[in-house]
Amino acid sequence: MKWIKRGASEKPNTLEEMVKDLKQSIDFVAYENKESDQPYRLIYFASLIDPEQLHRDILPVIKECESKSLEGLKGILPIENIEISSKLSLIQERLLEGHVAVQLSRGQKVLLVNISLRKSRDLSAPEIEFSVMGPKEGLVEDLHTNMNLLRRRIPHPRLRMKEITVGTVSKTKVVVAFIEGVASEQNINTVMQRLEDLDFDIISDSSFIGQMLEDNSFSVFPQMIDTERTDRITGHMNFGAFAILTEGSSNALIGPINFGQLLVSFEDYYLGWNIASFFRIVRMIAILASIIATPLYVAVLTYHYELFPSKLLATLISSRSDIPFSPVIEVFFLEVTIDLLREAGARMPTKVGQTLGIVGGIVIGTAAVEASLTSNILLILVALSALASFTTPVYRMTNTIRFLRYPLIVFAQFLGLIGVALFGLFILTHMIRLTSFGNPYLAPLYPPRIKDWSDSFFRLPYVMQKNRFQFFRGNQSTRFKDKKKKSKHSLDFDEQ
Amino acid sequence: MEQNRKDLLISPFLIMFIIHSNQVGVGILGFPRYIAAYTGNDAWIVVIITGIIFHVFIWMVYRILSDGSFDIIDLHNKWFGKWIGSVFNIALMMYLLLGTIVILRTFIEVIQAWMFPELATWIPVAMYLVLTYYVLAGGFRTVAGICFFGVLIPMWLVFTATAPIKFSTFSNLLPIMDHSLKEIALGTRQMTLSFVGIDILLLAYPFLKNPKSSRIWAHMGVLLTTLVYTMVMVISLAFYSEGQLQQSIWSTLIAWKVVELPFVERFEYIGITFWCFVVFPNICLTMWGASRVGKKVLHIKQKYFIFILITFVFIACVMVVNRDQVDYLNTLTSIIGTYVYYFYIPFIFLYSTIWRRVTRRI
Amino acid sequence: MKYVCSLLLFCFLLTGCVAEEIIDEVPILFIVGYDHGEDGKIKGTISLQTFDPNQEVETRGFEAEAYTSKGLRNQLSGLPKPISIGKMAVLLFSEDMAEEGIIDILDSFLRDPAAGRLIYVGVVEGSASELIKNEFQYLQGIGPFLQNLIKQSVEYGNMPENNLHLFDYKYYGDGMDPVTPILRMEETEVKIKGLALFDDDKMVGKLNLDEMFIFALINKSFSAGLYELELPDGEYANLQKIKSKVKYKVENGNTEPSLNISVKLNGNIVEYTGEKLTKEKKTEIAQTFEKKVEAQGLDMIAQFQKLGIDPFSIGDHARSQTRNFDFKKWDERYPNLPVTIDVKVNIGESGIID
Repeated sequence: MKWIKRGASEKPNTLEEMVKDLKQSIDFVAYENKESDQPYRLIYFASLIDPEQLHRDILPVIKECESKSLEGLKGILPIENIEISSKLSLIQERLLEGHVAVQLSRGQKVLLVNISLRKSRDLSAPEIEFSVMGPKEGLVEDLHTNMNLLRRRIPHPRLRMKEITVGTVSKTKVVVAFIEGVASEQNINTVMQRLEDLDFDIISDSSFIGQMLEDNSFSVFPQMIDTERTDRITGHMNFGAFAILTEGSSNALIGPINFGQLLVSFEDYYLGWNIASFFRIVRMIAILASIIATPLYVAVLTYHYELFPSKLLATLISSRSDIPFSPVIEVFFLEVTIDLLREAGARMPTKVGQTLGIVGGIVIGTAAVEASLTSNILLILVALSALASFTTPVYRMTNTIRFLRYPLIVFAQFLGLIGVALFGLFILTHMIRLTSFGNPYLAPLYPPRIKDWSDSFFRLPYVMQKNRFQFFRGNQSTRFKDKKKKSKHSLDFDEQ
Repeated sequence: MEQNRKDLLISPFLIMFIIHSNQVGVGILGFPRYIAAYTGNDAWIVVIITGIIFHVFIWMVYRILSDGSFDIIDLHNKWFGKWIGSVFNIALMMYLLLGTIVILRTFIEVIQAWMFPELATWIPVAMYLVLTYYVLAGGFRTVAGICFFGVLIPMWLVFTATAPIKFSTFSNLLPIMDHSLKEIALGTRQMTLSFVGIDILLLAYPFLKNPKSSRIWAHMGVLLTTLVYTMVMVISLAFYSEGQLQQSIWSTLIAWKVVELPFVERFEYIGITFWCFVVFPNICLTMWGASRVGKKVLHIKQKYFIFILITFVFIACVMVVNRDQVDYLNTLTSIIGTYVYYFYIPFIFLYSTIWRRVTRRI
Repeated sequence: MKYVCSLLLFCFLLTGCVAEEIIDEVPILFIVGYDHGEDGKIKGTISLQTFDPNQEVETRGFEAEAYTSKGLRNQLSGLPKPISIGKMAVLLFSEDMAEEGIIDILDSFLRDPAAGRLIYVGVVEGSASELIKNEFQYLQGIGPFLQNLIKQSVEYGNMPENNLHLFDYKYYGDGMDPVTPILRMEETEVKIKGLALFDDDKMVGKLNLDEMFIFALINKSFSAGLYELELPDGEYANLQKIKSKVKYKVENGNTEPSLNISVKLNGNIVEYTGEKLTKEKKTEIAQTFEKKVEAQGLDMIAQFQKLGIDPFSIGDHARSQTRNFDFKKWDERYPNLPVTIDVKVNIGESGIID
């Protein structure tokens, strides 16, 4: 256990040593009551327990207990899962979880009663994944509340929640939730195996786990979706994915995923299928345009001006005529400015944030054009592509898009359109090679699984989505039975 | 015979993309000139005839490979014994390597002639080869994926064919069958260079799930190639007059100059950019094939052997310096290709049929 | 392994390797004119545009002399390099240059991958250099203006299609000869004066605007603009949106060839200077038009036969309708080729009043 500097602490050998060691923290209480018939001592962390339960349930019972043994106490205490132990490591662990240790007459054994208090946020609407339609229920940091929310949506006995503790110091509880029989065993075994193999000290958030469970940690593409929305989690679980809930994190991880699911907003399922399909396609075009708009600007204006029709050429040249920089410097300047704005806006306190956002966005932009540092056409392009990068509903994807733009700009400057094509090939190859828990990332496009296309870049009506995705390699059971065909209404009077 | 791991196999549907992408390379950008030199306005008939011939070749190849999941390397060893089999295999590997060098160098020559005259050859060669390594390191599934996208992404270029039609005179194609059979035969021989690419099937066969059901898809691949080539040929014949076509080296690229879209004028730059996607699968497939031969025959790990091959291709590409040398390479490949397809494949077809009959009788 | 790959990829960034042509630093040429220079040199004139942020356009003309077209680049030392012809729109030749043959200069544009094929080739009555250098006060500059002028004439009016590609097509093709528009500089404007007829690449004849229209009608199935027709009784009628469907039929191409052109025209009457437009009047107008087209068509073909040129691509039509066509024999027989033209005019609409 080298997490702490050597010699910083000795391992306690007896209970007394442990109590003396822990007493160095102000929130540790070792309350001894010698006056009552039965001298007892309560050992607990005052910051972790619920004092009401202590006063209401435990103290009176201890006072009125007739038998002088721990077993007797265990029998009458109105709390479940009481343990009796003398093992120091267990006692320490339980104390740190919020148990109170009851010691009678300074015996070696103690009674461990669970009266821990969890404080967490109230349920609120998800902040990052807002949607106009649909439920606005988001997860909170408390694991039990989250499990409650999930179970309410799928009250099926086969919804399994398996717990693992990760993090040698933070001892974070992680729950893997899946529907047995729908999710593929292979996926579940993989994820459980990886969780067990995880070796880290403090897990602050589910994204830590996400990064450690990933197939390919060099990739900028997310291989699991972070989400706060319970409808999304349960929807994916129905498809055959599993969800990883982490204590202390309001994001759940969903895996395995494919690339198409990163572009899909769950709101699509609440709109009609034709409108949703249209918006999905618009979103995809927007994302593609967002990545390649500025690199194309650099490539075409630096090397291939002949591509523009003469009328457009006049506008472009006039807008660039006073600018002393080459297109690539212009683009870098604006891209970095927009990223600065974004980063600063994310961290500014709300009151200051709005004003500075307006100042940054409008004033700097207009001033830059007036000072002939950039052209207004480029400003429009950069602003539009920044907007378009936010159309993706998964936050991680926006960062990926932002990130991918820079090497593309570099390659565009280096080799013009060919550079863009070559880097595009690199990204394509990378995505083909990428897997999410062993499942190909670009399914259902490659390997082509035509049956899965009913819910990928467009969405067909619900009645057509009887079968689950082949991608998840789970049970191929159907989701619902076919309805009987409606009887034909006749429009004419004579027919029956 | 190795039991191939199920997760390394690819769906038989993908063989269509593999074959089609291996056949379409740089030839399509300039082939009308060479065929029309022999067959004039009947050159499109030559394309169709060559397509039919290659359907026959696919049939032959499937008959050769029909029992079990062998690839041609194992079959060579089986029929001819270890030593002569190895000679055949090494020859196949050299042929594939030549294919890589030719297509990579010709495409870079297109870039140098059309877009960036000062571009040093080694830069795009190195970039392509590094990318190829990245693809091959992912196994055959990645290669097949690149083929799939290499067909899908440039597919929309087909629609740009409508622009030259505006300036075309289709009466150029008349009168039909105005040429002698000899001229048509010469044209067919010239066309073979653009259709070569089905040899990859000889090596990819063990990687298919249900190889027998992939036969129809292989035929579809050749059909798709034939259709695309016929369309290009017909439009080239209508767009150019005979004398003009003989003058134009890259006739398809020149035809793209007349495409006018609302935002874009000189379309050939975009065409060449998308051609990066068309050429890349060819390079990956041939390098994969060559490295596979190396792994099985020379027993070097595929990872290391790819390095050796990449260095070899790099040096070869950089050594070819001007247009005439590129032309010479293309002619050389065309001649060798003719022998491979018109002699070697029928030869092993007959050999395999006889072998099968004989071993069955014993 | 991925480290090595990405490292290699990024190494290349250190080597800059391709020549940039940044859009606002490159002088963009839209038009160039060729005249005879001294000592057998070519005199090239270009018009350069500068673009203001306020979208005002300033143009300046430059001149230089050299033996080859690309050689002019070195002589234009008043211009910042690199001179790029990527956006070249119009090539003008003076009449004397045109009469001597222009394929050498066109070769420079055909060979260069940077030049497009939709460049318009034109002949100038007078000096091309004067035309280009003149300050016409056209808003877009002389190059884009002429490009637009010719383009609109082809699309909406009375000129057959022509560009560099078609010139090349007809030059290299057997049994066809190219045509280009003729431009003329008047005091404050540039006008299209007609069509120049070429024998391979040398100019040998002209057609005026009227003849050009009929030429366009007969040449190919065409959708033309306006035509003013003189009627035998002195009245005038104006036909618009004339659509022509043309069919060339060559009989016995190798033995005793004869040509029949069948022209079906469809037009609307938009103006009539007479009293009432009765049915008989309409038939009369149709018949007059038919006769006019036939007569002028035959005249033109006779003129072409005398000059030994074939702008209608009759030879090509013969080739497509005869097996094993013999071009040599055709060339001998062409001047005496019997030609008949059958014209059929159909009047469509004639306005909302009678």
